[in-house]
Amino acid sequence: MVFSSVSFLVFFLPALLVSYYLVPRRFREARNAVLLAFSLAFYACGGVRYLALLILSIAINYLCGLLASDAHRAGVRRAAVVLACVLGLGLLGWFKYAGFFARIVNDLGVAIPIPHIALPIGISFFTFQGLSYVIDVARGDAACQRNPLRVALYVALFPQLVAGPIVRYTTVEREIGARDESLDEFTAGLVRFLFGLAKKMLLANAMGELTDSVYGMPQLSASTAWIGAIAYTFQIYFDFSAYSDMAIGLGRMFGFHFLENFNYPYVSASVTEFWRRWHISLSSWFRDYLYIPLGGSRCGRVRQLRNLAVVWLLTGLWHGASWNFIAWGAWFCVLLIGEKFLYGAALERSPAVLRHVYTMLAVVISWVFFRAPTMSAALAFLRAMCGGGAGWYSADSVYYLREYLPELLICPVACLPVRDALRGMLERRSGRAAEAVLILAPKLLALALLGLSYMKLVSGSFNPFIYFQF
Amino acid sequence: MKKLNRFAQLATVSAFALFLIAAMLLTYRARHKGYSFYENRNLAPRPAYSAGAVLDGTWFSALESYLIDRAAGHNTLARLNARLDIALRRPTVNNVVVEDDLLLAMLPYQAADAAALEARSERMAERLQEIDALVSSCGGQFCHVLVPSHYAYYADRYPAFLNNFAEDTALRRASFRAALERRGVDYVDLWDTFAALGFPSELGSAVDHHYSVYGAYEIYRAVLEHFNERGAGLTVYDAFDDAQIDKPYLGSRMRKLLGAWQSDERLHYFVPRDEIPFTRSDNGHESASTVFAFPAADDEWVTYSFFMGGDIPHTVIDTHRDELPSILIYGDSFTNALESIAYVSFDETHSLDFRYYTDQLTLGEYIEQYRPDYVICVRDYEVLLETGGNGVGVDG
Repeated sequence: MVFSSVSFLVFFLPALLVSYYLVPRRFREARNAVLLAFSLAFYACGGVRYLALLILSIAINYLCGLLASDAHRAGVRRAAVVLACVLGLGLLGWFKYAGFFARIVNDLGVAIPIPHIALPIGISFFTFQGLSYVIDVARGDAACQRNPLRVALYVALFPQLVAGPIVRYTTVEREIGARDESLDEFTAGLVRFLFGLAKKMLLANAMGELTDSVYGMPQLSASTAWIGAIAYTFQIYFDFSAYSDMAIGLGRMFGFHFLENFNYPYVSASVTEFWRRWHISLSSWFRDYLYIPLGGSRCGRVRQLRNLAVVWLLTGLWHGASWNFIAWGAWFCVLLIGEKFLYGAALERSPAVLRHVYTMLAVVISWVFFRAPTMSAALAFLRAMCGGGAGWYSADSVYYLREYLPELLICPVACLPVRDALRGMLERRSGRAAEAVLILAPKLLALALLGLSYMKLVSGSFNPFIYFQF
Repeated sequence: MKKLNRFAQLATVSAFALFLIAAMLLTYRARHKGYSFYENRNLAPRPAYSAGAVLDGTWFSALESYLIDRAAGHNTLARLNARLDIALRRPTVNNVVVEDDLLLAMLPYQAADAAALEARSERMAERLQEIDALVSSCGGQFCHVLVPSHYAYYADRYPAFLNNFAEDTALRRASFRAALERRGVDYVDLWDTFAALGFPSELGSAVDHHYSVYGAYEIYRAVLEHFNERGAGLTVYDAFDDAQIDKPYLGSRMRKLLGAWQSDERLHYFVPRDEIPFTRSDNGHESASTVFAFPAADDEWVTYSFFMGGDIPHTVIDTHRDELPSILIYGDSFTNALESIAYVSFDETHSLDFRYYTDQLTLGEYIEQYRPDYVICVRDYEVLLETGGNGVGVDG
């Protein structure tokens, strides 16, 4: 089930809201139970058979969390972390990578059967989330949770279950036990959710249609290829950040506060900055649980290079079991190494425009690896962007520009912190009118966007979520 | 300001709650709907429960399709969406090219494949040659009628950045005509007729991909004159009254836009001034003696199905004038408006649509059984070389 669906919006969400808020606030565990039951039902809509996997993952993390608590010796705690990693990553490895590695082995000339395994939705997210809990408990950063239902709720909480953000246990530890649901929080969450829904339905889907059309063309001119590449750059941002907005908003409607997952990544002036602003929950996960334990930047240059290579190989693989994602990770690895050791200082001294152009060029090219179905398709697409396809220009470019002109005009603006700027401007102005606008405008706009989003939802059929495949 | 904030929050949450309740109730109320008039399709059925489908999640995705088809305000919002897209001046809306005064088909950006067209032309001509031979052996005359598709008729109206298939059309016509000529199959290419008239816009339709009754009449006249050039002696009837339906015409393109485009086009039809009584049977059953299906009084629109009542697998119109010859017309829906005129020149007019006329007589058997004096196959350029549907051979 996706948030931008009739079944979620019109049936699941109202049923959950009614069931949840009918339980008096003092019965916290009953409210948690309602939320957990609905979260499991939400996940089961992707296939009941995968529910067992989710519950198994929860059980592993719960038991390993108990063993990782400070009630045990250091050796036991370390063993609990190793066990959680082996079992959690083992499940992830089997479901996500078994087929890929079997194909590599076959390509190397060793004939082994290639398993065809359907990827359970959200496995990469809930595996990483569960692992972070066990590691945090073992490190003493979080208290061990002895109530299995609370661990289950933490891992399975539906807003972030299938496409993130990867919520740390420490972020919601207190709120699982005692949170303040209020009209203030509910309204703020609702507005955030509706803005996210609009981003998805009005911008991401339109850019997705354009991207799919371009990537589906047998011959591409450079002009069309660039339009497709830029469209995908917008699509992936609005799609994924919209999901995060909706997750954060829904969380708030039930009293949870998840950390931000995006911070206007396309305003970045370097790739290093981009990765501080893009999918923050994943990059910080790799930083805290892999990069720093490996030695991070506080070691010799060779080890730093190794650490970066390991992190980016795994970041690429986390996104998908294919050479494209490995190439995508390697691309960023090379750029980050370049910025860190070679041209970072020169980049900082160069004009801001140049830095933005460099960053966006790097990002747009990276998304080609991300979007193309195969490595050869990605390379062909990049070749077409350089004029090596069907020439430099074709009439279809004009069509795509004209057909998606409204979205292509709105998308760049929506990538900028316009909302923050407007809010700041209004906050600086004293007076009742400015205050009234600050109070009313977001809510009115959110409701208007709900109308438009619902209109798009029921009248169109293009509605995929990119990050569901991870 | 605290009060305003509180009020704004309550109002926002209430509005959202109202939206959810209304959407839920209206969606639930629409659960029995099975057909979408505007989309001209059956709605997704309620998913049948099976343990396997629930386990692998396909039941839930089918449920979403079922719900989205019945979502509250589906048609109204889809029409609003189309209206918004038109207002935003998008060149295409719902796969329809929206010009100021004309709706056209959106065509894919694909280059014409001359070799493939030639091979397909040859294959189709071979089939038609067999049909031609059979009709001749039964004492009749066969003629293949090629009609320009809507996109070909209005090719010059496409914006330069859209594909109008002009190259494909030219290659298709040339290769198919050459193939027919090599095999001695008689044909009429309406391109020549329409070109001589300067492709007047009133022969087509701004909102539908079929010809108007005026275009259908030109096809009728061209075909009969063609037979007459070969000594047929058929009467080209021209004493028709021009009538119109005073309802908006929901043509196929307009239908894709859910009627959101502004048009005052009316559906015209021809009524013979002379009384020509006839009996009619559809699929072997006697039906009303009319070639028009008038919309009910409370219908908002009239559609192209007005002619002949739409695509019917098998129709026979008998004017009981034994002195006149008989004709078999087979083809896609382009034949419907044509048949509503052509029957006046014949004793019996047989109509077959092999897209739906299945599991009964083959074309060959039908010709042998009824031995019509004239057999025409009417196909537009788009499907001209398709071997499915009305591209059947004698055994099809």
